[in-house]
Amino acid sequence: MNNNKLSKSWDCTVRSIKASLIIVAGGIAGCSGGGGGSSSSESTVEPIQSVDDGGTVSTALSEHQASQTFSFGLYRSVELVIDLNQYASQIEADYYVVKLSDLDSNTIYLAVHQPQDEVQLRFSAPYSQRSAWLEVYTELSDQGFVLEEIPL
Amino acid sequence: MIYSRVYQVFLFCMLFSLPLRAEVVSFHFADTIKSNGTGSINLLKAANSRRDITPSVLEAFRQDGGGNLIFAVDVNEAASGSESADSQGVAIKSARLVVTFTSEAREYTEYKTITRTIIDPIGTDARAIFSTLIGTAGTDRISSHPDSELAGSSLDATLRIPVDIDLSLATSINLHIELLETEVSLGDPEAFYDFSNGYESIALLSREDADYLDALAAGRLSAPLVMTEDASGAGYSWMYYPSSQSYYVAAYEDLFPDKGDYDFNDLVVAYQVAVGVGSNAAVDIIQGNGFLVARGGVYNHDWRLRIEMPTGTSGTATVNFFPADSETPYSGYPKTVAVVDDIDLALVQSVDDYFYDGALPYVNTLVEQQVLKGPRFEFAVNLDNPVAQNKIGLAPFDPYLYVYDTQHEIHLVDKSPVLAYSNTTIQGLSGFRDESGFPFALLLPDYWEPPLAAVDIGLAYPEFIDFVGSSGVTSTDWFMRPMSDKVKALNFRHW
Repeated sequence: MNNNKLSKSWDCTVRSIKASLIIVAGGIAGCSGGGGGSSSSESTVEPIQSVDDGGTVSTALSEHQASQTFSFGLYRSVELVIDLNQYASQIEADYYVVKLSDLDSNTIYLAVHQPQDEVQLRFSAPYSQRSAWLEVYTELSDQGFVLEEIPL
Repeated sequence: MIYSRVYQVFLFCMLFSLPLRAEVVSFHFADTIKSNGTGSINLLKAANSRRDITPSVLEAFRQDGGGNLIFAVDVNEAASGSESADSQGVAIKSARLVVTFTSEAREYTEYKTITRTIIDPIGTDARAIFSTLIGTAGTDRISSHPDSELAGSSLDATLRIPVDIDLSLATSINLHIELLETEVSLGDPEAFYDFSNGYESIALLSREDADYLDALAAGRLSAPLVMTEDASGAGYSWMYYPSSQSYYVAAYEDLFPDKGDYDFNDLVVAYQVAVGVGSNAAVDIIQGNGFLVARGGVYNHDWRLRIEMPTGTSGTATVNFFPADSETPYSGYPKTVAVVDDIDLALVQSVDDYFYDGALPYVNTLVEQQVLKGPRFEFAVNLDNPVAQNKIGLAPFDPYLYVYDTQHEIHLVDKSPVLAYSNTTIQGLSGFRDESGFPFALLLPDYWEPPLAAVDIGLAYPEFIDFVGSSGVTSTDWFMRPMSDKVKALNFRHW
């Protein structure tokens, strides 16, 4: 391999996510265009917003890691860890759906989890895609949904 | 002789001392669920007019079903979006059985399916659990009973309605069913479980046929957000690369190690991969699909996809290959391949034999050519033992080309040759870029348009040169701004 020099300029970065967490009670925010929720920039720490009756909810997203190498591939790999316990302590439900979408509402990950699960996701995103959308919702329609923009 | 006569009398007495029970043989109803998603099914009218369906016959089905009438629905959805011939679904809004007797009528509104999901009905802005019916376009169902109409049908999923009354004396029995309209703009699971194609035919099944259909679980593996009645309440979960509705596009310059005309269309392939995590929280199945997009050279190729796995990994892969718009595979497919350590599948073998435009080897790369859909491949790897997700090689994995004419393999620039018999390996070549840093393989989003034959990619996409020259720091979205007269507009994303 003779791409060592090029690879160095794309070294891995690790950063904690402290993006805003939006709880939308009784409504489903669209993934595309951020309907129903607000987005946050990578460097901005915004207060947690809650509009349901359950009080404040702390972020369940612990960290994500984006690793990049210059492979002419135009895609990078991203790792994401979601601790559902953080939600489960405040929104009591039997099932927690975790959905990760790209900006065109295409599904990257979609699964039912148990409240105690720690969900580890590895996905890929084009360099040109600056964010993805994470939703966590339950089967209880009046308990609100979580929608979070993940800066990449 | 005396014994024989006594025996005949005994049989006669037995026959008339027991109530007659109609034979329980699965049949289709004449009525269907219509394209508006509703159905009013007269249970006393079979699709086959020679089948005489009486209340007593339905009572026999009820008893056979352990107090349930067991229906089966042929899920007949449009193969678009995340739905495909291999997996499609609908959700049930309501099902109501009305049994009328001379002096009264009874309604049964409870029902049960094997699968459920959490979904948003249209116009409600609120998600809830709904029963679902999942299936495929297959017509290969079987039954042990020679007269069962399950055999050879495309019936998919069962719907059980418990009924606690003898139906023998009913004067009419009707099933009213309504499928759920979902908020498809949310994507999956709502987009998957919408109803879009009606009509859906419906049948009444014997318990034996129902057990077979439940065990078959047609289309269930690939369906999104499936909840079943097992202990965890959760079904399979999938990580899609790059997503459930988009593709990676691999494009190659096949004269490696010579740069050639650098038009990057010698073979263009779209592919996606789904990694399945079971209840054990580890990966035990990996599947994918894709298709040939364009061919701008005369060399013959294999196209392969390698996914790095931990040493000691084993399993079985099934590879299938279809002509465009066909569900009938090419001769010789499907193929079964043993997996040892890494997954390395030849998903397209000898492109010469499958991808051409009349007498021309060029496909979708000449100005005057009409767009031709390419052949489609599918694969599924069942691992013998589950593997932790973080032990699997990173997406977009290792899509590579083997060129018969030069016997070289061509990978993305950060990969190494893997085929012991290739000249690339034998000659100790690596890196997959020329002396100026230019690559021989690119990985692109599925809205990329390949350059026309013999048009250098730097002319078709002027910012590409800056992208390479800056080591990928600037012009990272170079592929979004082509010179429109130098590329072939294919719109292949929805092939």
